[in-house]
Parts: sequence; structure tokens; C-alpha cells
Amino acid sequence: MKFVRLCAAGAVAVGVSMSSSAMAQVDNPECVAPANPGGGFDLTCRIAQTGLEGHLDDAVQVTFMPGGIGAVAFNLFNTTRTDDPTAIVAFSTGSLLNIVTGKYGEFSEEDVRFVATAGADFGAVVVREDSDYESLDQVMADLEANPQDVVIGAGGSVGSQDWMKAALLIRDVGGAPMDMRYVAFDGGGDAIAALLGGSIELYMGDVGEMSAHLEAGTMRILAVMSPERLPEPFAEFPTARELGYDVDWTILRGFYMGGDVSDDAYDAWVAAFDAAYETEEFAALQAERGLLSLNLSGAELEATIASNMETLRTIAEEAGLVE
Amino acid sequence: METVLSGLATGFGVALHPLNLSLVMIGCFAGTLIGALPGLGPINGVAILLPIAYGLGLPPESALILLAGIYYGAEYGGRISSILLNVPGDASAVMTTLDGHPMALKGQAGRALSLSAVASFFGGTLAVILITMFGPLLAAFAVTFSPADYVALMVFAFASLASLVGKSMVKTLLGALIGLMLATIGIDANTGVPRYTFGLPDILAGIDFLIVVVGLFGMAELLHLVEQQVAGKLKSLPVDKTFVRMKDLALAKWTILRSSLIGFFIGVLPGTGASVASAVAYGTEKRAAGVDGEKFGTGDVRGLAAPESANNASAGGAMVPMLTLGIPGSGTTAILLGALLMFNVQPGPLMFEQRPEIVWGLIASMYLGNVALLLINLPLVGLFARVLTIPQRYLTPLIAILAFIGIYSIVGNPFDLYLITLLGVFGWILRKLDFALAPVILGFVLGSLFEDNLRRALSISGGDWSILVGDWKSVSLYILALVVVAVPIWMARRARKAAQAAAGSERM
Amino acid sequence: MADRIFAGVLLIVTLAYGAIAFTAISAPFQYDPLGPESWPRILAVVAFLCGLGILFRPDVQGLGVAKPTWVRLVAMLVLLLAYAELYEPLGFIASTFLFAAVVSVMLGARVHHAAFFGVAAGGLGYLLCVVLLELNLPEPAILEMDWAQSDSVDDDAAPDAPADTTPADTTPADTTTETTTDEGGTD
Repeated sequence: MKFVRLCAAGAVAVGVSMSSSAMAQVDNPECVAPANPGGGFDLTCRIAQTGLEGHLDDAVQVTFMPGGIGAVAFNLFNTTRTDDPTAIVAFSTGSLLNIVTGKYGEFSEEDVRFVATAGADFGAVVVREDSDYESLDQVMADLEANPQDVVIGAGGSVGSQDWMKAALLIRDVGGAPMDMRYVAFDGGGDAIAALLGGSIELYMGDVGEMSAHLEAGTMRILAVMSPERLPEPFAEFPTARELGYDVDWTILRGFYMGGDVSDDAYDAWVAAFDAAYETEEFAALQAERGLLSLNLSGAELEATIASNMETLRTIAEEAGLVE
Repeated sequence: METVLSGLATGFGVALHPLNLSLVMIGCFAGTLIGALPGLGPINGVAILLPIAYGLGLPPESALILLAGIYYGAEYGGRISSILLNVPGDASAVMTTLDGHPMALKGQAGRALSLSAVASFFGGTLAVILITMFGPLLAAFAVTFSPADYVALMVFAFASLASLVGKSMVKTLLGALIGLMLATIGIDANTGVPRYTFGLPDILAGIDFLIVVVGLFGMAELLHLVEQQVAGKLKSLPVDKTFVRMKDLALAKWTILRSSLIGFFIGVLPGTGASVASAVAYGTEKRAAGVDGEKFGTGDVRGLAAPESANNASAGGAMVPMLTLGIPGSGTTAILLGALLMFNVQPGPLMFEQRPEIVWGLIASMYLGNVALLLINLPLVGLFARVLTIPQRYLTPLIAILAFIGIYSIVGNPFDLYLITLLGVFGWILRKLDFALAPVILGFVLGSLFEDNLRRALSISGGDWSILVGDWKSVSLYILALVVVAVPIWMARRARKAAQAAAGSERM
Repeated sequence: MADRIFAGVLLIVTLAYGAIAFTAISAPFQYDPLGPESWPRILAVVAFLCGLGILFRPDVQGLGVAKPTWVRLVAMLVLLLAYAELYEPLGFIASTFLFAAVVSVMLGARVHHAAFFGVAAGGLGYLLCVVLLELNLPEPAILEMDWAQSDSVDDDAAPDAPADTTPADTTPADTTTETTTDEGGTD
């Protein structure tokens, strides 16, 4: 029922002629958040909605398509709405991981067209304020000596992006992800509670969620997992790379379209995002939503994702998550 | 104390915001209405209206204020049909019929209604005061709970559930198990392995909470109404001009205070709600009245005041474990808890620190709500009594229409409408077989908490099971669990012995 | 008896549930000693024992539902399913009007009262939910066809249009057939 209806929405929309003008022309633009309202995908779509105001003729409508943490939407845009020029779908690095581990079914990242990013977040290695660990070096030394020595917690299951951050660390000191002592929590909030309560020693968090906690002074960030130093208020934290560990973890939030979308339609969206990236309002919007600026669009984004996917595949294969 | 005052300041800042203030009013009014309708209790009311509140796109604190208003408003309204019709609005109002209806038969309906309104107000307000004082303390303490302590807490929750709810212990347990089994559907939060999804992407993230709630409660209630439909019209006694007197309050003041405290503490116990609280309070007062206790059941003001102050106090008490520990204190708070999760708010001890606007906004709104309920209930009771005469033939389709609006408006998927209908049939069958539905929803909400914390505890300890009894917090919770199971059994045995002794002495 | 049948069905479901837990569920690797399969196994065993308990010591003999009540219940179920089926093709107002009117007649309302109630439920419900509260409820398919074809309608009118656009292959004729079947079925 839903499929037929949505398919028809695509068909109707295709019939409408596309024209490109100075302002990018997309009729009845839509951002599909592949989840229930209120989560991260909703947030991603709201950034498109507010951020593209004035860069598209019409306002972007946000619609919801829950199911399988994005799998339902991903499959729909690979089967029936492959050439829908009006709709973009929110994704995150977590979606890419789900593609790698096969949770999204038979289709891969090469079957869709990645349009643009909404922003990014980065991994952070966090300990409690009174922890014995003063630096990432001490943690890494302990992990190298005996991976079972450090109780690591994060807000996601094995194979999730939170787990990947821990797996990357342990790989860098020559250990295997299977050997660590990893405790999976249901979201960052639970894991932070466990860190504060002393159940875990190391929390693999995200930079964005830490700003509120840093003011309270209950936790310390040992290192951030970004490629380069972050802007204020995170400028004081060293990156793991600076400290000599070849790891970083970027959580991309962005949008894709169906694989058969015409170049004209695709370019119209990319142009709209490129125009929005130029404005101060967009940067302010990202900051307000707890995201850091990482503005990639079009071919540049596709290239970044292609190289990310290779790393993800390697780790997943090593950990036995992919057969 | 300082945190309490600053918390209350934050809370009233939120609750007095015009939007939230009107939501308190709407919630209380709608709640009283729902409670007054025969058969529709707080849990069904909240279940049916939850998706609509969600679809409105309100911020989480506003949605919670609205839903909580419906919850304790319905505890208020339940007494109206009990007194005037002798038909309890739901299980928690059963005890109210015992003395409330006889009073109405004696031509004192107005007196009974106003007395019960005052008793409800007192019970509700005392509960909020206790939450204000002890909530933050309990939350600050609960922050130190480790996964192993949470396992003990779950054991305690299921123990109090098994001992206090329902007619048959096996059926209560089985109901909870059905909920627990439903909760295992979806991706395992620990290893990322899909369980019982049969390759369907729609349930990879688990079965949608809203659908379960609206189906099991709202739609099952509708089928129940269709089944119970009576050909004739229920006859409501008129609301007369009598009013509660100072003498009544003087007679019932200790009853109200004791019953409020009993109600609050039973409400705090995970899983047990207003129906147990009102029954225990009624029984206690009957015994406390001594020889006078024989008048109970013939229209005694104490017999009316006890269950009414207890069930409203328990609605407040049930909020305590929800706000401080992240586990529900009753079936209805299980639904509120699920609502918070849908808003991406993790209920639990950190909420006081991280989302004070939600916790304190809710608490402040309950102060306002109780005053509002008293104010709208005293003069408008005649209006609510008119609701009782709404024929079921219009009420029944209305429930379906509301449920459909709520479920459809979230994501616009018509398939969900079939799902809630079928779940409604399942819920109706469970009810017909004497299964209480509250354990099912508690199992569903607590299931992943229980399993995940058990597995977390074991991965923290590296597989050493002794971590489960590793500190005094978990050990004392296990002892408490034993107590809640053992005490009712012991009391039942003692009552039987006393009855035997009495029978024996009579023969002599 | 009713208890026994239910317990029997439950035992079969539990057996299937347990069988999956004992054979199919496993993780490529795990950090906790229990893994994804142990918890469902425990639940299956306990539920199985509870089911057996009810099978041997049932306490509800029958559902106690009289035959006319069964008829009414089944009719209600059919009406609910029909309501769900027609929700999108007819739109909220028309389907709600039909449902509310037919149900209240079935439960004993006079026809003109029922018709008034149906109009009130559909109309007021629409005004309240869509106009005032801006909830997303289905528009009638036929109207949307017109909108889709005429196309020149101002864009303001299309907030929820993309998700709700009509199936292109549903002709107005289809919808009418469905309506007739419904009326035939409910009489």
C-alpha cells in the first residue's frame, strides 16, 4: 500500500518538467527521515529544511519512513523511487556501517547517489574526572599490554559506530577487536551514567554530546578522533593523530538520492547545498544542533564515502561481522 | 534543599508557560472526562491519546505534562461513575463504589462527590510534595547504580508484580513473559544480531511501542465495550445539592492522611498501581475503625475517603521510580516511560541533572494540576455526570476513531491500522482469560533493560556471576524482593488462621 | 476449556520461539558470556513451564460470550478492518462518517441520530485534527486525483502532498466499487 503510494508520488513528480534557474529548482522538495520523529535522522532533515530556506524555490518538507534503522527507506529508494528527483534521504555513518554488515539487504553504497552533508561529529575518548588515566598514551599502553585490562563502554552494539571507535583504538596497538572488554549500552546517556558510576573506565563518546558535560567538570576528554584540531570550545583537546595514533572517526550526517536520478536533478540539490554552505546561517544552524561543520557535496562527498567504506569493510571483515 | 528549591523554580517556569499551563488544564479536563466514562480508565485514556500527543509535535516536557494530566485526572474522574452509577471507571475505582454508591442512594450524591474530590486532592498533593522532597535524593542515589544493581532492581520489580497484581500468579508471570518475549524482537543491543525479525526490515528496530500500547489497551477496551454492551441505558443517580461538611472532614482526616501515605508507597513499588493501593487502604481503614468498621459498605465517609485519597496518591507515587530509576511504577507510567523514550529522552537518574525542565516541569505541573482538578471538579461535577449518560453506541466508535487518528498521523502507514486491530483482538482474549494487561506492558518496557543490564554486568566482570551480589545495594534489593513475595503469603496465612480460630471459638 | 486452548496455542508459540533461540540465534562473536541467545532461551523455558501449569490447572472454563455477542464482536472486527481498508482511499472524513454511522446503528442508535453522529465525528474530527492541530490525516483519493491532474494549484496547498499522493492506477471507478462492497458488507 505504502509502496504503491510512494511510487506514484515519484511518478507524478517525474512528469513535472524540471527547469534550472538561478535559484535551484526542485518541485515540492522532500527530505525523508528514515525513522520515527525525534531522532538523529529527524535532526538531519531539519537542517536541510531550515538550512536550504532561500536556496530552493519551495520549502523542504520532512516526512518519516521508519523501519530497520533506515533499511526500509534504503530499499525503497533502490527499488521504486530510484529516479525521484524531489526527495533526499537522511543517512549517517551508521547507515554506511549497516550497508557494510548487510543489514540493508542486497544494495550497496554504489546504488545510491550521495548529495551533501548536513554536518559531522567526531569520536572522543573520555574518562571520569578522577580517573588514573591522564593521557591517551597510558590507555594505549595498557591496552597493548593486556586488552582485557581496560573496561571500555560505548552507546552501541557490536558492529555499531560506537563499537568501531573502540575497535580502531585496539587495532592501532596491534590487538584484535574481539579481545577487548567491551560493554554495550543503549545510547550515550546510559554509558555516561556507567562511567560516572564507575562501572566502566573508558567511554568512547562523541564530541558533540560532551559540551554540556565538560562544563560540569565530571569528565575529561583524553583525545578527540578528528583528522585535525577542532574549533572552540574543543580546541584544547589533542587529536589521536597528534599523539601518534593513526585513528580517526568522523560521523557524517548527510543525504542521498536514488541511483537513477538525472544529473540535472542531482546537480540542483548539490547547488542548493553549496549555496547554503556559503552562509553564516548554515554554520550557526549546525552549531545549534550540536554538529560541527564538515561541508562536503557532490563528487567530493562520494569520494570521501568510497574511501571510508573501504576502511569499514576491512574492520568488519577482520571482526567476523561480514561473512 | 537548595536543589529542590531551584528545581521547583525551574519547574514552575516551565509549567506556567502559557502552552504548558493550558496543557495541564486540557489534560486534567480530558482525564476527568475519560475517568468518568464507565470502563475507560487512566491506562486506556493515556494509551489512546498518546499517539495524538506525539503527533502534535510538542516538546517532550509539554507532551509529558499533558499525558500525566490525563493520568491523574482520570484517577480523579473514576469516582464519578463509581458513585453515581455503581460502575467503576476502572479497577482502581472498584473500592470507591463500596461506600460511594450507598451514599448516593441515600440522597447524598453531592456530599459523596465533593468529599471524594477533597480526599483525592489531598492524596494527589501529598504525593507531589513527597516526590519533590525525596525524588532528587533518590535520583542522586540511583546515579551510583551499576548494571548489577539494575538487575537486582528488575528482580524486585517483577517480584512485586507477581505478588500483588492479578488473580493468578502464573497468569501474571505469563503475561509479563509475553511482554518480555515481544521485547526480544529486533536487533540485539549488545551484539547487533537480529532476533525474531524473519528478515522483515520493519521490525529490525523492534516492535513499535505505540502500536502495542494502542492495540493492547485502546482497541482491546473497545472490543470489551462492544461485548459488555447493555441493551438498556445505565441509570445515573442525580447530583443533588448536598455538599461535604466540616464534620465529615474531621471524621476522615486521619483516614485521608494514612490512606495517602499507603497509596504513595504502594504506588512507588514497581508494577503495582492504584487498584492495589485503594484496596489496601480500604482494608486498613476498615480494620482501624474497629467496631465502627461494620458501617463500612453502607455509606461511611471514611470508606469513601480511603480509596480515593489512596488511588490519587499512588498515581503520584508511581512517578517516583519512573523519574528517578527509569522503571515504571504502574502500567500507566510504563506507557509514559515509553513515551519519553520515543522523544529520545532516556528516563532515569540522570534526568534530574540533564533534563531538569522535563522532571521539574512535570512535578510543578502536578501541583497546578491537582489544584485545577479540585477547582473544575467541585463546580463542574454536574457536567461530568452528564457524560455518564453518553450512550455506549457513540462512545465505542469514538475510541476507534481516536486510535486510528493517533496511529495514522505519526507516519501515515495504513498497515499499522490493521496491526492495532489484531493486537486489540489479542488483548481482548487475554482479558477474557483473566490475564492482567499491565504485566504485559511492563514486561515489554522492562524487557530490554533487564536483559541488557544482566549482560552488561557480566561483561564488566568478565563472566563472573558474583558481580550480581557484589554490593549492598543489590543485596538489599534482593532481600526486599523476598519480602514483597513473602509478606502477602504470610498475611494470607495469618488471616486464614485467625478465621479458623474465630470459627473455633464460636463453636465453643 | 478456553484456558486450555489458549495455553496450547501459547505452548506451540513458545516451542517455536525456543527452537529459534536454541538453534538459529548466534553472534559472530560476543563480549558477554550470555550472548544474544541465552535470554530468549530462559524466557522460552519459563514460559513453557507456565503454559504447562495453565494446561493442567486451568481456571477459566469458557469465555462466557453469548452467541449474539459473538456476532456483534465479529461484525465490529469486520467494520474495523473495513475502516482501516478505506481510510486512505476514501479519506478521513468519508471513511469516518461511514464507520461512525454504521457502528452506532449496529449498537442500537436510530438511523438519523447515527447519521448526525457520523457527520459530527468526520467533520468535527477533521476540523479539530487537521485544521487546528495540523495532524496528518488522509485526504480523499478522488480529490487528490483532481489535484494531481490539474497541477496548477498553488504550492501552499501541498504540505503533506508528497507522501499522500494518490496511487496513479487507482481510478475513481475502483474507489466506487470499494464503497459499494463496504455498504453491502455492513448491512
